[in-house]
Amino acid sequence: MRWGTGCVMLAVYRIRVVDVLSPDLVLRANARRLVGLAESRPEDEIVLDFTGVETIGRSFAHEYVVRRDASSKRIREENLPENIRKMLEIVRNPPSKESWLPPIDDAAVLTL
Amino acid sequence: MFEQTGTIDLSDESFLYPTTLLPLLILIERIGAENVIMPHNQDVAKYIRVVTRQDSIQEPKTYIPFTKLPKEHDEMEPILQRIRELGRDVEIIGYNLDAFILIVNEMVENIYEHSEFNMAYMCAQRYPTLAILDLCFADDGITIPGSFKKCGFRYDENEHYKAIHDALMGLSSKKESGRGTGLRSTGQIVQKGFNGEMFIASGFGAVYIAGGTHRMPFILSYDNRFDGTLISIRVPLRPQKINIYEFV
Repeated sequence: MRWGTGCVMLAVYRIRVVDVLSPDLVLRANARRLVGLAESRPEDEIVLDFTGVETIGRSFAHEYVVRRDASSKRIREENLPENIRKMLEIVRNPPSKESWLPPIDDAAVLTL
Repeated sequence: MFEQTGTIDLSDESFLYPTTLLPLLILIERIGAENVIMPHNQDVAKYIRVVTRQDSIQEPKTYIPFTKLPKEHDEMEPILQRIRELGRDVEIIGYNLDAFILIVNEMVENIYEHSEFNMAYMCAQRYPTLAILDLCFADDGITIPGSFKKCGFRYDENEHYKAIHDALMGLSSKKESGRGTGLRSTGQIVQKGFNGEMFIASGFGAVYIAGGTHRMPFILSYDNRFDGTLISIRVPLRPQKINIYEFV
């Protein structure tokens, strides 16, 4: 590419997520399918448009982030609803697993 | 009695919750309906017939019928659609659609990822007069301790409750970071978010959690074992919005 004689534009392809999946993003298999669809495109940059997406499962979000980050394509999100953005942020920076149940006292185990 | 006669006698049953009904229906499917003596109570008999027919939703919808999970991951849409429909009639689901979709997602994901099931089912039922909603999942797979065993975590039969407890605490049979969150976050959403109850039976163990911090482990005898995993969730029908991001 030389300035002044024209420039080569990087091709961008848009995918509307709700059209290829559903308003509810669930299951790791679907996250793999979404990133796989992006990777199957010849364009270098893929925009995933989250307009119309309403809910997202944690496992979907985790699989999506792992696959997206490992992808050779530049995949970016647009029109992320706040709840979807929050979930993606949580799986990127997961909180430490605090102990939320007390240790088991073997003497308190009942036999049925 | 079933072990001796090969017949399930439900004639005296006057009420069945999903926690009982779901494993029962798995057994009925395995042995054939002709080997079941239906309840004398016509309402209960009718209920069993209705919830096992997926095309017979009545208005207003108070349940997700006995739904067999497809073998393929990507056929979940009808189940999600049913949850959305139920959310239009059941306030707590309507207020917390994200929480219920997440719970169903995580439970179904666990079944697909870990259980190696032949048969897996889910159902939901609202009880307006008791002000509760039951959500139940069951599979006939390798159990939670069986799944852990495949990656080197060993639990004796009388320690199966520990495997369930460890899964609730976030132990995963997958080595990858960020795993082991499904049962953990679901347990926290149910117990801390909804102030509800959760009962998990798997193999020779069971764990019941409720009311903030209450947790009760069980060793199941041979006769009471569950050949697979049963997860039963009960939440009170209080129209409150919970913040799932505190628990995931």
